[in-house]
Order: sequence, then C-alpha cells, then structure tokens
Amino acid sequence: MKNPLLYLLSLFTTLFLYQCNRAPEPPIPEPEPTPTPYVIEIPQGFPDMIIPDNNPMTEEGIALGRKLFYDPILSADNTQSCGSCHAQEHGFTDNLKAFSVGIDGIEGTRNSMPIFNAGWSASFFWDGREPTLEAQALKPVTNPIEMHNTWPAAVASLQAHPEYPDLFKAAFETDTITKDLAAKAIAQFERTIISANSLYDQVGLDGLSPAAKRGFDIFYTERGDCFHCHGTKLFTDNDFHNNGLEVLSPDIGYGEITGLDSDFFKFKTPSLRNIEFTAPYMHDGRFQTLEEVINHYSEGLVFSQTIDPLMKNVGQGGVQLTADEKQDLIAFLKALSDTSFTNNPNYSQP
Amino acid sequence: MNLFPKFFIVSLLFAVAFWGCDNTPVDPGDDFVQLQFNISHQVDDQELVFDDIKYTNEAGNTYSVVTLKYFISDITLHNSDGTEYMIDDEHYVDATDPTTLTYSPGDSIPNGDYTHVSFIFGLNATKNVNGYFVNPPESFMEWPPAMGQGYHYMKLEGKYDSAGVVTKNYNTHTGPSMGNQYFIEMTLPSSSIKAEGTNLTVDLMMNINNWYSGPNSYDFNTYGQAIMGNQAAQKVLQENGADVFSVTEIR
Repeated sequence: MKNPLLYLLSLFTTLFLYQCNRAPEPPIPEPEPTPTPYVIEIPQGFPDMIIPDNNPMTEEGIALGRKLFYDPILSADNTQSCGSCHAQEHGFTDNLKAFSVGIDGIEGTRNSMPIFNAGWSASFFWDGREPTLEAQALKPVTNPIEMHNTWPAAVASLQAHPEYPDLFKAAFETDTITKDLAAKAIAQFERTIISANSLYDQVGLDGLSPAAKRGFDIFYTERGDCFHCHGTKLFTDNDFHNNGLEVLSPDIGYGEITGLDSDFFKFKTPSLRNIEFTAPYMHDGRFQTLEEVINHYSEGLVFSQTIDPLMKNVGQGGVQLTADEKQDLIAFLKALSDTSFTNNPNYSQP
Repeated sequence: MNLFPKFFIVSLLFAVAFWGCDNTPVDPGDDFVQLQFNISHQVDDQELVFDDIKYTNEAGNTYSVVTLKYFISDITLHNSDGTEYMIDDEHYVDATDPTTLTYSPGDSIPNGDYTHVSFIFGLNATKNVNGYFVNPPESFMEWPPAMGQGYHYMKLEGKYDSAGVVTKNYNTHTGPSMGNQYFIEMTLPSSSIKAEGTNLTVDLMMNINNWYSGPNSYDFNTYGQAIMGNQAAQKVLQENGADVFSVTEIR
C-alpha cells in the first residue's frame, strides 16, 4: 500500500469497527431453548414490585411454581400442598380455621396468612422472620407440624417424577433440581398473585354506596384511623404492630425475631383487601367476623407496654364507634373484595 | 507539500473512532461542591433513645419516642449577593434507620459564599399531592384525601404518663391538614458556609423538645392524638417547629 493516506484510512476503519464491537459474531450451533421472560403488569398506583435479581420472572418459572404450589409431592406423605392451607376462594387463607392442621393431624399456632400482593412485601410470616418469598417458600416443607418433610426427600421425589425434571429444565436450564430452585419457582408464581380490582378500585369513592362512603370517611380519618396501618393501594404498611390484643398465649411475634423487648407482641399488618374472604382474623384467628374485629378497635383494646402509639383512646378501649358507624365501616371494607382475583383462573390449581 | 488535508483527515478519523462509542459524562469540574447532611436527634441535651418514657417537655409531660419519620426538601443556599441556589429534592428520614440519617442531595452546589441555608420541613404544595411518591417508605407517609391529601410531613409518636398515673399514646402528626399547607420554611441558624473544594458536610441536629415549646407550650393532654384535622394543633406545631433544627458543625 503505497498511499499512506489509504493506509491510515484502513487502520481507522478497523479501529472504528473494533471500538463499536460491530464485528459479526461467530455462528452459534443450535441454541438451547431459554426461559421466556415474563413482564408483570403493575396495577395503577402500586409500588414497584420487589423482584430479586437472581430470580427473574419467566413464563416457565411461573408455571412450574404454580404446579408446585398445588402439588402435595412436597409433603412427607404426599397429602398436603401449599394450596391445602391457602385456598384461592378465601384470599389464599385456610377456610374458617383459626389454625391449620398439618400432615400428622397437629394444629399450628398461627392463622394461615393470605397470599396476594406478596411481591410488594419484604417480610414474611406473622413475625416477619423471612425477608423474601424465596426464603419463605422453603419453610412449610420442613415445618414439623406442616408438611413435615425434608428437602432432600422432597427434591428426590421431584427428580424421580416423570414431569418435573423437564419443567425445571425449561424454567432454570438445569438438569439438577434443588430446593432453592423449587422455592424460586413458587416465589415467581406467588408474585403473579395480584389483587387490585375491587369495587373500590373500579368505581372509586364516587361509585360506592352511601354506607360505604360513610365507611370510607371513618377509615380515612382519625375517627376510625384505619389508614395509618392499612393505607396506600396495598391496604397494609407491611410493618409490625401491637394492636392491643389481649395476650392469650406466650407468642411474642416479631419480638421473637428481633430479640427486642420493644417488639414483643407485634405482628405483621395484613392487607385489608379481600378481608371479607379471609376470616378468621388476627395472627391467632381469634375473631370470627368483621364485627368482632371492629369491636376490638372500638372498645376492646388492652394496654400493654408495647401497644402501638397509633392505637387511639386505649383507656376507654378504643375509638368508640357507634353501631351505625361500624356497619358503615364494614360496608367500605366489603368494597375492597375482589372476586376477579378469587376467581382468576391463572391462580387456580393447574 | 501541504500536510494540512492529511492532518485534517487523520484528526477527523480519530474523532469518529473514539466518539462512536464513548458517552462518558462531562466532569462538572471544580466549580461545584457535593453537600452532605448528617442528621441526629436529641431531646434537649440527651441523645434520642427510643421506647423509654424518660423525656420531659415544657408542659410537664413525661414521654417516650417510638416513631420519628419526616421529610426535608428543597435545600436552599442563600448567597450574600441575594441570589439563591435551590436543590429540588426531597429526603425521607426514619430516625430508627441509620441509612436515612445521611443525606446527599441529588445536585451539587456551585462554589460560593453563602450566608445561610434553609429548607422546607415537609413538602411544598406542588410536591404534596397523592402519587408523588410511588414506593415505600415514602409512600407510607400518605395523608388521606379525606383530610387534605398528600403526605405526612412528620410522624412523631410515643407514649406519655398522664398525671403520672396512666400511660397514654400521643401522635404528633404534621401535614397538609384539610388542604391547609403547614410545611415549615426553616432557616438554619449559624449556617454561613463557604462552598469550595469537593465536599462539604453539615451536621444537623433536631431537638425534639422544641416541637413542644417556644413560642407555644404543647401539652399531650390537649393535643395527644387525632390532631391531623386539628387546625389549632397544626398551627402550633408549625410555629414551634421553626427552631427544631440547629447546625452543630460544618466541615
């Protein structure tokens, strides 16, 4: 090449192409099928969902998680699944039972928690002992009064199953099933369980009945003061409170986890969405009806050292609602029921 | 031989080659200073310890602090020539969460001699609308539409001994009560700063007892709970709040 300018031109053309990494990739033989990314639709006004970087949502992961959620294969005697104590029609709680019964016929000590909008929480169980859905999903399998299994045994059952190895392969691109992958799949499914289509969501305040509108005012003012713990679109602050319940058992809740006296008798705030479907109420299922719950906040508060400062008028037992106000408040709470969620075929047993 | 055309082409090629993929942001240079606020809380001369009923306010209430959460926003530096530099930003403080006790505003400030620093305690009316914060923890400061909408400026909660006999709860909640904006434009005393170099740290301290005194004595037996719709209580707190912060050190 005699012309130095041409030489420079070639050099810089090469340099430019190299800089921008635009050289064609070598041909890849036959790509393995990869999981299909799933983009979750966040309802209007909801926060960003908490999705761990190491467990991205995929169509295959969600389908696997749904199958696992409803499959008794994870329990020691193949009789109980997650869905056994978390029924969709009851907001994924256990129907009218204060305490669910495990595979050995033994009752638990806390009420089955609802499962919806869990993708916006950073603490799980009534005492908040697990920080992620993935960590939570591991626990019931080995709990001695729930599924009473071991994870090696559960994984062996899955690995020997005619379908699961292929489903795990499709979801996680591996032939080796692990407990962590099972938990990841269940967590992915649980993140899809969203309730955001109640009557109140659909019609807003203006579309509610007169009673529900009056209930709205009680809920969202300090007359009832429900909103401080049950605010935002989630209808929960996802925090822990001592809500003035009479102490009936040695269960100290969040205090057991933090070890702090100031956290004794605090339990996680549940969402009030679908509250009509999730009886009985409180961490120990002591209240059978919404009337009993409201009576508690109206007249039944019991002082203790860690009672939440938000509990009003504790000396008189609470906010002292009238009978009409209680009915109005219940009317508003029932406007938070979402039957499109309890009947959503995407959440049912596959 | 005129070398200029070749030199020009070579330069152009260099420019194209390196411009093609490099989007390094422009260095703001030495003319800007990054501010950092370190925030602490006391009750008079005592460090804040949560959950102990051991503090006494001007009205004689002996009280504890269980919750202290609030917003500061729109930090503004006032230049001696009368100009202002406002940082359009908000910061949420949860006094139990150490990660919120350090605040570096999003924008750095120009070099200069500033006579004082001010900020808004709470949120201005433009920001204080439902939906401004989408994510927790800020979104959990929601102030319901039924009482004016927007966000609490502060949740200060705890217990107090009433008449030395009964322990009661108090909720000092400030916010846009019934649509009336009660945010506080706070001017920090002794906040003259010379902004130069790269970083400037301002130590801020809130004296919680100042919410309950000067100019108004605030008694939990009068304003213990349910003050969100109470205009008199909100006004008292707005007036008292003007001096709750002080600057303990600038470095």
